[in-house]
Amino acid sequence: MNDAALLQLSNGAAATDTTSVQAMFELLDARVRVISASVGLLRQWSILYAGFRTRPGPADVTVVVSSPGDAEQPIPGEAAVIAGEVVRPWTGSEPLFPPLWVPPLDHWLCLRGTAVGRAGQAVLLLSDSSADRTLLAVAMVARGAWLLADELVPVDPDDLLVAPFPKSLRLDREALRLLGIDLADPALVPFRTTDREIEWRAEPDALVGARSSRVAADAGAVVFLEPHDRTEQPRLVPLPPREALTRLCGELHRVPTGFQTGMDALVRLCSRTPAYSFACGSPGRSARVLDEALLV
Amino acid sequence: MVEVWEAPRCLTVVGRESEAAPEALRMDRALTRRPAVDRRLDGDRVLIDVTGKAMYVLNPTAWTIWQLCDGRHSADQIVRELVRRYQVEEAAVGSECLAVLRALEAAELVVEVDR
Repeated sequence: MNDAALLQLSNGAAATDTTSVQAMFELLDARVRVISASVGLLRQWSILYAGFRTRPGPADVTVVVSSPGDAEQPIPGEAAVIAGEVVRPWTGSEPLFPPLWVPPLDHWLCLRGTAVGRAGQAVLLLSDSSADRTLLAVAMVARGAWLLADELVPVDPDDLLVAPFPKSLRLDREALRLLGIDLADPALVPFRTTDREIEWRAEPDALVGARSSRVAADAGAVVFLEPHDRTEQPRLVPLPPREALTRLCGELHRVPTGFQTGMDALVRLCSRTPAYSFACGSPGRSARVLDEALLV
Repeated sequence: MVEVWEAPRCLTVVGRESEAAPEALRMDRALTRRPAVDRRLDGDRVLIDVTGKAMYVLNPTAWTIWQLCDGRHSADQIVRELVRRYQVEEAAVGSECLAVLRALEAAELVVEVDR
């Protein structure tokens, strides 16, 4: 598909196109329209980002997938992202959706982690292991915290506010058991992983109701989760700002396009926000320690 | 007033996209700083190399070394200046100072110049 054809698609000519499907999302203050010849891909994104679906309208960014069929993975060279008049072919070096690498979405500092909050203050739980941090976050929500973001924590580099990012939660059987959630809960949608295991997706609003926050919060603490034996006592250890900065950079989803602005923001964040290393114990005990130390 | 000596440290937080292999540091040539954005972080200083997309944290002693790379001091002279300022033995500061200068040169934050 050439640039002119892509632009024509993004301008609405696709309305008469019976071979593709469309959806509109609102992500981090940007309206993103997806036009996909792959039904499977759009279905998958609609499940993962159900909380971001919105009514159709003018788009800031358009994602066009030309590869047909029901494949759930996009193919490099067969997709492009249009921002303004600029068409950017997708090469596969970054995730196609959400297109955090094009303006205006590339303005955000995105960290790998989860954020929970209370009274306008957010605690960022950062680690590579999504299972542990999601479990801990949901355990904290069970104690009364709000869930702000999971998997990706967007931070505004200007005011350092943490934006809500209600991506669907991924929970395994053990997590549901520990959290006392019945497998038949209507919020849960089962799926089979690539390892042929069964796990569940749940939209935050459906699982935790009003405790899924859609309001930005100030970054009150940054917590780096350490692998730890669940039978041991959780340990929260303060980190000096220089170490926090190093570790924060390691948890960046991508190096910011505005390098100086992004790095400046990280330095400011580390200067004013306490950071900790946290060796988790059981989810319940860990949630209590974090809640009492950082949120109550 | 004598400043307190602390082993100088230059910590790479974000590395350059293409690290150049450093040449051997020449002790008698003047060193000068390349442009970089600096910020305070607690007691440390952060250098943001916008061109190379890199970031480094320097402790106060390493920051002094960086400041002394002013186009007039050579590596030899910087070591002597540290000995004078901190009132420590040259043997104690020499190797640590040179390690930081090599790190700064490898990061292309410092270059040798003719005086």
